[in-house]
Amino acid sequence: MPERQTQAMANQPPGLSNLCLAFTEHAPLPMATVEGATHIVRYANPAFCSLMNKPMEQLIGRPLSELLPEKDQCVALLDRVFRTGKPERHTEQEHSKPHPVFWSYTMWPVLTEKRLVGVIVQVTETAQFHGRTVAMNEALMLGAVQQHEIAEAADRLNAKLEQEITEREQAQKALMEAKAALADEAVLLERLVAERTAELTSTNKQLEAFVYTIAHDLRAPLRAMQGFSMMLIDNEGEALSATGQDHAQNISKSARFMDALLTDILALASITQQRIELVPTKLRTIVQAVLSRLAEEIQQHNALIETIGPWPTVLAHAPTLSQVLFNLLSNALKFTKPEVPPQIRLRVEEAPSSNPSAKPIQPGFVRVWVEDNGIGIAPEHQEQIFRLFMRLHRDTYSGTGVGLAIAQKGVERMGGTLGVESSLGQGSRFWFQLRKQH
Amino acid sequence: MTDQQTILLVDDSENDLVLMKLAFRKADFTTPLQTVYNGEEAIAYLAGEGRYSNRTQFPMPAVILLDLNMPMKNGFDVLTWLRSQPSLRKRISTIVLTASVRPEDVERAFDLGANSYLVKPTALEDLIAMIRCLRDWLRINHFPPLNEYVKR
Repeated sequence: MPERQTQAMANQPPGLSNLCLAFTEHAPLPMATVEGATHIVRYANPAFCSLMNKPMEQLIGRPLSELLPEKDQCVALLDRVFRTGKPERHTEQEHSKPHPVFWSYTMWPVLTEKRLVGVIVQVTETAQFHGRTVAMNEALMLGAVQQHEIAEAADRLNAKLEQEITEREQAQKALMEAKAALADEAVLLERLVAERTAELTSTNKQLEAFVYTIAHDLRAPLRAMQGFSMMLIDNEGEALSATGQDHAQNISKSARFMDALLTDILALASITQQRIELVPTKLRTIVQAVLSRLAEEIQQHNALIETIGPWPTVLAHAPTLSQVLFNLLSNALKFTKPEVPPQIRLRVEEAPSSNPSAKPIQPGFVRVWVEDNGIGIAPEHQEQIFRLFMRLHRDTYSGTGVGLAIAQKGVERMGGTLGVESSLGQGSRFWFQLRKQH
Repeated sequence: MTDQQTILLVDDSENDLVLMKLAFRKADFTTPLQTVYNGEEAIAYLAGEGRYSNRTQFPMPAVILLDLNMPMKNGFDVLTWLRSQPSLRKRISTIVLTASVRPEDVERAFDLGANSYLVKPTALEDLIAMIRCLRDWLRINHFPPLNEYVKR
């Protein structure tokens, strides 16, 4: 080991290892160690000596402040480092030289077994190490600039992100508001629908009451007309001429006809408005009931009724189905050729139809036929006959002209269709389709 | 029942009352007929209020023929009042005789305790036939004695 080094080692303050010493000895930057409290320089590396332009012997044992310009700041720094145990850095401008010179100090504490025993001071005169200092500064500045750029970029990105977040929040808020508005609209609509339904129900009820009241209230004067004209004939018959009695009879007849009209109108209104629930209904039962209701008329007309089973179960409303069959059968008994007793056939056809020319039966439905040998209906009239108050032969055959309208409406309400096949003089075959119950 | 049991006819229509009386005559139904023109009068009659307290002149009826649509308390009001009477409610026969064919009226009448629901026919001969039925039924029916106690 060179002699200088040995001397240095002899003087070394506690804590400096041999390796450290070797590094420090050869370090290009000036380095010195000072004793904490006193600031006495205990060691200075060759770079430091060269910087001070003094040999090591002249530096050792002297207070640092003596050796460095701007001593006060140094001392304060030293004290601070020694006290806090935290490294510090300081840059000082030296004004004593003609060109601006900056001294850069870095001081950090030296610990032995956690005990602060000294401070290492690193000093750099920028002027002397112009390139390096500038480079350091530049590096620092570059670093700073880069950091600044990065910071700026980060800030921009942040701002952008924040804006995106804000936009998203706004979009979400708008979405929530739109949803709320939609929900409100929905509530409003629902309430509107409920109101309209209530109105409609109320209107329906009013209509029902109206139709009923008309029929009911019109009946009272009809009873009077009918009753009193009969009383005229019965009680005052002798006082009346034959013509007078005829008139009285006419009054009575008209009253009875109007009553029949009112009954039928009520029936039509009822079928149109009534709440209908379709349940499995045995066709056979309904047919038998209707036939027994018409028993007297069947006997009067000397009619022959043929029923061909089997009779399936259909989805229907029993009272309505009864009405439909009753009307169709009444017609079959009424619209007969003179002197020809009616022959009526009731039968059921299931899909697929056995008659290829006939309209195909809707799948899931059955077709009920009411076939007669009566006067028949010309093709050009086959649509009209279902219209209200339409009577093709009002002079020859009685009736209100409502029966087929009722039958058609009734079948419709039960989810089916009603139609007719006929030609003039060849009888009529009325049919209707109802859903089959499986 | 004897032909001396009274029938109370409750109807607001003059025409219908005339026709009813005619039909009774034509049907050979000679039972005494008392008539009142609305529900309030009917209740007063049955409660024996006012002039109706004179039971010699206005005897308690065994059967009431009750119209539904009337002013001053209708047929349903009379039925309701009857239900509130502990002694009368089950013992007096109430036959609703109305022009209404509405199912809800039929239901309500029976729910309020009516014993029968008849619809006024338009044709007089049908009315006469109906009264004949009524006459025959009244002749064979046994009627319980009526307690005159009326709850106010």
